[in-house]
Amino acid sequence: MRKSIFLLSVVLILGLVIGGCAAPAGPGAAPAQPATEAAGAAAAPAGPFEPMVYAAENCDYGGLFKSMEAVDEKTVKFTLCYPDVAFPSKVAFSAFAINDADYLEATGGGGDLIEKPNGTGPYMLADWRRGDQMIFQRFEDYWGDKAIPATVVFRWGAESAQRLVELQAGTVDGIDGVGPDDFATVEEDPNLQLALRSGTNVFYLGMNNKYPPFDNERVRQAFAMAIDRQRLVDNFYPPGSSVATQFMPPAIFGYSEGLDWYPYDPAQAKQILEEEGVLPGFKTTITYRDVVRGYLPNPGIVAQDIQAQLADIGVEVEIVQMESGAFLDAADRGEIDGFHMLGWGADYPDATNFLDYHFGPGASAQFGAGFPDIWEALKEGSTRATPEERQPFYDKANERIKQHVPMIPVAHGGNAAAFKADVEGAYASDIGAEQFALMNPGGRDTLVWMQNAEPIGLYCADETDGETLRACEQVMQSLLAYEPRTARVVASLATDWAANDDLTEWTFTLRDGVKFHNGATLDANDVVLSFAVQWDAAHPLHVGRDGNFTYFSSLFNGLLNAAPAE
Amino acid sequence: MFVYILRRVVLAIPVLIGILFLTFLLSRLIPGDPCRAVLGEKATDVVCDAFMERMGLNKPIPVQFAYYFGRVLTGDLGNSLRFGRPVTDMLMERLPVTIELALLSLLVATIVGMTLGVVAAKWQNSPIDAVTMVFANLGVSVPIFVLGLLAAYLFAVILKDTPFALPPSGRLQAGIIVKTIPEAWGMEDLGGPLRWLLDFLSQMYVINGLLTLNFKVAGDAARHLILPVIVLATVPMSIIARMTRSSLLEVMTLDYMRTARAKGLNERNVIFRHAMRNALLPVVTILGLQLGGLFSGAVLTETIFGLTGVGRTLFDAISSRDYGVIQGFTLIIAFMYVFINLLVDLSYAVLDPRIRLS
Repeated sequence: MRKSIFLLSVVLILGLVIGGCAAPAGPGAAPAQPATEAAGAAAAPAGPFEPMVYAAENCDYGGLFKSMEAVDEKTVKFTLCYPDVAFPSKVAFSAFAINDADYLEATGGGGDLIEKPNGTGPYMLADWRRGDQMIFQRFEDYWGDKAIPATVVFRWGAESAQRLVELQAGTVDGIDGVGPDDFATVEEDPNLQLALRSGTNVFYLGMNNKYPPFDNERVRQAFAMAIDRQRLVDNFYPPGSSVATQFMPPAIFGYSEGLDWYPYDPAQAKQILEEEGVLPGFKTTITYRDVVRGYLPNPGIVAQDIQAQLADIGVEVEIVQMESGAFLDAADRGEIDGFHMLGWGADYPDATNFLDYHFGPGASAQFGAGFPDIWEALKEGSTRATPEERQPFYDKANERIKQHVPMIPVAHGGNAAAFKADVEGAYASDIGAEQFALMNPGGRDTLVWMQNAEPIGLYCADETDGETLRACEQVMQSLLAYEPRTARVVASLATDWAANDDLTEWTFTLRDGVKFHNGATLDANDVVLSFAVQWDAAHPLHVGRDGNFTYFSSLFNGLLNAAPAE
Repeated sequence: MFVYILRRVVLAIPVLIGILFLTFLLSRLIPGDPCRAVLGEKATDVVCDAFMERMGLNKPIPVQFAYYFGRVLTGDLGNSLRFGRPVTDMLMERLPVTIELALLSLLVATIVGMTLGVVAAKWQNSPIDAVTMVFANLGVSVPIFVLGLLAAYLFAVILKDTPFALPPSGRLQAGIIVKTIPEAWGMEDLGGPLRWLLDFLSQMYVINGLLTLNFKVAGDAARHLILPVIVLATVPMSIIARMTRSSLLEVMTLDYMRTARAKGLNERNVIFRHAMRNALLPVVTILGLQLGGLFSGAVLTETIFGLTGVGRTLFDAISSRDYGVIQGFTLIIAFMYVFINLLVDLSYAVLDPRIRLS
């Protein structure tokens, strides 16, 4: 028997060696699609400035961009296939940072771009020891105010207790993600300071109006009165969280000041449900996934509390837990009868990211049929250029959402960072994009920051992870930026921006004297190429870390020359 | 001996192929969508379709396995879905971290564990025996994460600003830039297996610091290793102590021990020259198993002390459905288990000349 196994193994080895020599390339190494030049594509210029233009033949591909062009050395114009009022808010996102065109070409769109970024930010990457730490050093030719700490070090640790011990030990200056149980410890320690981050997210209890009795607006309103949201926030959310009065978080443009949700009134809720014939004897479900998110730190307990609250008015609720992916798919397809627990976190700080995505004409079927009056308000809001003009329409949309109750907004989940008490200017950005250049670590040269996880790569066009984007923010810059404490869109590499009347042409004027870390000067071609290599899936520099360019595809509705979906 | 080793190596091949196949299959059975686990749950269907196509995950599983198997045979363990980097590169970074931690922990566990075991056996049923065994049992009973966090808090926070202060996590003080050995030796153009070896050793900072005469790095790295090594050593130390004690007690009742004493040998010689050698056989078996376990099972220690080693990486990979990392790392861990077991078997012949390997 042993001899047989031995012989079999020898035969196997020989077979494997021969097989290995002839092994085909793996599926991940499939040959790249042929690079097809889009109409109007131009190579990076050498010598006198030659404006670059990159354009789609038409808008049939379904995406937002029609063309991007360098009008002159300091002016860039984006022409869109349809209006996008949130365009400035989107281009301020760190995934759309500007690279030096020559460096982009030299790196082939990947490679060093990921581990040796060449940005315009206040810091340069000095060393990245994978698994351990990332060291940034001050960029002395930065166009703005010089960074206060000469060096910023990023470290990471998955456990909140571990991060807190590091802070208490004095080996780091700031930590992210203070554990909910540790807020009091930080607040009571005179050597530490807590920096609260208000939730730019929302947790809601969804209802689908294609299933009775949720097809009855009055019934949905009754359920809105039956949930004690304050109790949920008080018991199951960390400090910094707030009870949601509407779907929009207060920190994001589109929030309606003064609008409040239905008051908690279980007696009134029960009476309405009885009048509508729902009670007595109504049984339903709460479906959720057991996945912790900033908007829902304790999913299982919250589900049980809502179950108990509904039981108080005579509604019998069964809790159904689903696998995350299956749950999201079922919700999107409108297949969940009863209540479902879901939430949303901001991609970019604008109402369109919350309201249009969930309640616009193209929204998923998770709430059933849409509401034309909400669509109308959102459409009006999306065709006005200034915040002042837009806000009344979002107020109207928020009121209509309250009236129709497609969901019950419950909470905006907050969290916190913590710093040594002597760190001046310490803050926690609501969108997780802290600018450490603005903080003074007690006069020390180095600020050490400890976050939850290691950044994955520093070509953030091809990244989605928040820990990674925060690292990019120190090195790379976009045309516009989010103001550190308010998330308002402000100038960055572009000093001015304007749109035409129908919001389909956006023109940006670039700041003078901006240098990349390699000494190159920013010009309009850098902007065009930085966007073009993300936009066009057939561009030879459309390489990235893994070639997904998820945010570009998601926020600008797809890529040019993308492979057709199966 | 050579034939024996060759046969063991050959017989290991089907084992490794079986592990490869099972890991491949089991990783595909983890519920959830790998695309959204990697790209985030907001990735659109179009993005996910492109991702699955590019990664070859839309092909039938047998076809995926055939491709993967062919690549493994050429030494290519594929790419990480999450990091987009070759798994071999990640192994080169993370395996040395774990090896350094595991070997040092096993060294501490062996020295302390065997000493405790001998002491307990020598003074069997005395208060010393009781105290020693209570200490050993505590090591197995206290969960690693409790012990780790308590130790970190004690040495980093409570003893802060004292000579006993130790860093709570990480591998080096923040901001220290470490050169690789080839860089420090001015051998950046070096290639081939020697370069591979030097790069591998470069990731073990204590060794790196010593070889490059950068004693600041070596000292700082050693200080950072003290707590994780002690914490990780507690469980194997307890097991080794108990095993040494029971094995030694069993051997000491045998006839040849009475003969040794009758010959007039002093007790030290009786124990260390005659008893220990035979008593070590089961201990060595345990050592081999413990070392294999340390390579793969140091997840908690690596997490608490912020060390990105094999265990932690594998744990994260399972959470994020990073098939390439799960498969590649598991294969290497399996290979190390096989290799360590071979070493253990070979050591039997050294310890007990009556054992013939054939």
